[in-house]
Amino acid sequence: MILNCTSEIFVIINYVGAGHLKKSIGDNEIPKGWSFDQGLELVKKAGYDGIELWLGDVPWFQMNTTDAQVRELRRKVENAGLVVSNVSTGLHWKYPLSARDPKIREEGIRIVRRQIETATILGADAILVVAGLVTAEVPYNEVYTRTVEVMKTLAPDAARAGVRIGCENCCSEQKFLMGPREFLLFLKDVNQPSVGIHLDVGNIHFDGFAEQWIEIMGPHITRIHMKDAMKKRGHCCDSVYTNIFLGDNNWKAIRAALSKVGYDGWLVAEMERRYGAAKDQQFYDTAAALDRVIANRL
Amino acid sequence: MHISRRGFLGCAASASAAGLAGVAGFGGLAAIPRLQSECLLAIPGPASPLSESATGYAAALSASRISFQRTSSQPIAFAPTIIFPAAVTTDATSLGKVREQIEDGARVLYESAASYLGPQDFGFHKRIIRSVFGLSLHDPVHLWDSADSLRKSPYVDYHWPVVTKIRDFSRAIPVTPADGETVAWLQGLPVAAKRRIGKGTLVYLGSPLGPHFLSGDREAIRWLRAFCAAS
Repeated sequence: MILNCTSEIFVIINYVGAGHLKKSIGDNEIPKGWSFDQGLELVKKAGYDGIELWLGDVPWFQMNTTDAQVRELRRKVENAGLVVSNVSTGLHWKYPLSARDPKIREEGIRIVRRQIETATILGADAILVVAGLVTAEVPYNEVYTRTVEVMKTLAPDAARAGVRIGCENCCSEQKFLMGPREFLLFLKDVNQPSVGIHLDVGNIHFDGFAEQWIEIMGPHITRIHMKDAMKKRGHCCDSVYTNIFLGDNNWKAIRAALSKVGYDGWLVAEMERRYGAAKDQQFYDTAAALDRVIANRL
Repeated sequence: MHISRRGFLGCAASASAAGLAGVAGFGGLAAIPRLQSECLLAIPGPASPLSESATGYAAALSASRISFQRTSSQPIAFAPTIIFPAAVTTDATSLGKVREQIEDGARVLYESAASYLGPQDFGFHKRIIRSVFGLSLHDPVHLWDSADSLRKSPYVDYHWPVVTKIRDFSRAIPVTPADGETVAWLQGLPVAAKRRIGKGTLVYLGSPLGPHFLSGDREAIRWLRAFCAAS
């Protein structure tokens, strides 16, 4: 009985200690063929507080989307009773900030600058970038040095705009910054408060443990992507990623680590594999899973 | 390899690049003794597509404790060693001045970034290099565009001034000297040439090295030190 009480007190302390974690989900999760307005309505109904906008990944938000059109997106988001949690992009897979070709690198930089501009218009204070891409052609040392330099270049722009650049840990896909201490060293080499990590707890899979990344990264975390990983997958045909609670992440440990470091920001859901039918149901189920994480009912 | 003992005129070391000495991989070179040298580093103009290369040379020279001065003035003043990082010369007059320096005894390292030019500009560059330096350039090779790229070695084999391997930089310009020698090969292609011109020496690099200095490539830095020390 005493043990139960103690356990519940810890639950309460953990919950209170974490502040007000908020739920968000990417607009790139909106089912194909749906409009932005339909998507927003679903996101709100499913219980999210905000939406992550993906520059270049959705028809309504492209590099050539004008400032006026971006303002219109914000109006729609706010009319739906939501806010923009952050601005992300997958464009850096095509235009890496570490590219050897200066023209490609310049395009990558232009994308980040547009992310910063649009984040400001949208009222968000964080962006996600995939910073650096190691390939057989462009080796690790080169990517590291160039990415540090590019981040130092972009950091003042972000700071002036009141936006933090979150470099996502796409460890296995990027072949870059594979461990948390390595990532921390990278951030220390960049040495700019406006540059941190957009931590994806699903991207760590067989390379480590998400809760350890959270603990080591602490105040450097700008946002958290929430998905799960099945550690036995990923070597062949089946994606390693899956929906929250279906994989091998230790969610109790992740929740405790969030409390330990005092993270009280956005939890942004990513749904790697989509429901084959009743696609809207996945939004509700994912929101419910996030609620359980936030409430520490695990 | 002959190591020069020439002592050159006092040349103030350019310490401005010293801050770059902390980049990846340079830590292991701390014990290198100071070399007596007089070296000019010609900072490329805005037309150069690989400006990071000059930063890499400056970092490597500083880390190797080789005294050097940066210059962007035209024409370049005479110096025993002149390095042109990421050069994309399309101006015959300025290149003619460089040839005069070589004839007077300068050793010139001309690192070409012309593989990153468009076809028309590369054509100008090719013609000028042939008319002024007597080197025949071939169209740039894009090394990573073919399906079997992953089965080929990504290293350039240098045979002078030291025998070593240094990574390619995605594109390379094959170069053949009319009279002179090929000093580096990449996948069977000659990508660096050395030839005597008058009292001096020209080394043309068809595969850029500068960015590798910046990322701390030890073998690349060793190559540069050997170049600066070689007679």
